[in-house]
Amino acid sequence: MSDINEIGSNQEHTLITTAIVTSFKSSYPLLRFIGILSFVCCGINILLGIGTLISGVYILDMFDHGTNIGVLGNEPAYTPVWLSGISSIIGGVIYFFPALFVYNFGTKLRDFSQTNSMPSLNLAFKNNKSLWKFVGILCIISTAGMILLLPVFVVLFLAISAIKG
Amino acid sequence: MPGNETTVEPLRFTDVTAAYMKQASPWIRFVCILSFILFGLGILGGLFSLLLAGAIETFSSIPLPSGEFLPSKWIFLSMAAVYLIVSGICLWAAILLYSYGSKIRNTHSEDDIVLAFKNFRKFLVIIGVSESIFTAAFIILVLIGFIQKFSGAVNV
Repeated sequence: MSDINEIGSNQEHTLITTAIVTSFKSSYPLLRFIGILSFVCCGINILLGIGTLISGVYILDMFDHGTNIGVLGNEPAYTPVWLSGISSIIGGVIYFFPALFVYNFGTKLRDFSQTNSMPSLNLAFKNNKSLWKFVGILCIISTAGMILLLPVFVVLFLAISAIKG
Repeated sequence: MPGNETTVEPLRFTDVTAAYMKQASPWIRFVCILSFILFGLGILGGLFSLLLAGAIETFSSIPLPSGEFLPSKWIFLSMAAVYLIVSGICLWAAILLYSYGSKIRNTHSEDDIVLAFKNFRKFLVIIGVSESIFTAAFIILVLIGFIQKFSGAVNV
């Protein structure tokens, strides 16, 4: 593939017509909204994690009086608080990047719609590419992690059952 | 003034923009394929919950050796409904996104780009609504957690 910064022949690509600009205009408000909502989620996750680590209490642990799953009996659900806190912070940090890409995609589409600036359009689709690449890589890591860790969790669960039994 | 007129060249997608759009397309379709797999698993989960609900209805009057009875079938029917509804929404969103991913790589066609963004907008509506509900539920859960943990009503 040619260097992405080279401007080759522009004759073969379609014109950016009014219909295309209208379709951009219908998308960018939603993109920016989703980006902002995602930033809010990131912030809540990170604050939750920091609060958990400071207070020593994971407030989303609703099962203070234990679970009633047959194998575990009526024991408190054992979830290390520090693990919950760190998971929240890591989740928030990871979620920040796609939120940023979505927001930037929407903002640059808006800029292009208002100013017809080609660098803005380039940046918009650069963020679009980065967003889906990030999401794709995250999906690969999550899927691989689940496939590799599932047997480990099954063995742990059976071991705990055997100990309590 | 005559002679000073400037012509505005119509804008076209550049090679740079087209390259970014073409690079995004495989990743978008990959995520969609994973979503289709998730949809399949969701359907299996829903069907399994329906089977469990049916089995429980058959054996609900028979006590377990411990003396307790099986939980209500409505729990499993509710789970089945949730699985099937969420899977259906996931499938719909994945189809829209797949259409977007397939069409944006064709920067030679105005119709493809317009259709791509039309489907992308519908996908964004689904994501926006889902994320709004999720965020609201998350905030409510956090507030409930605060009230539970720090009101003294529950032992920490």
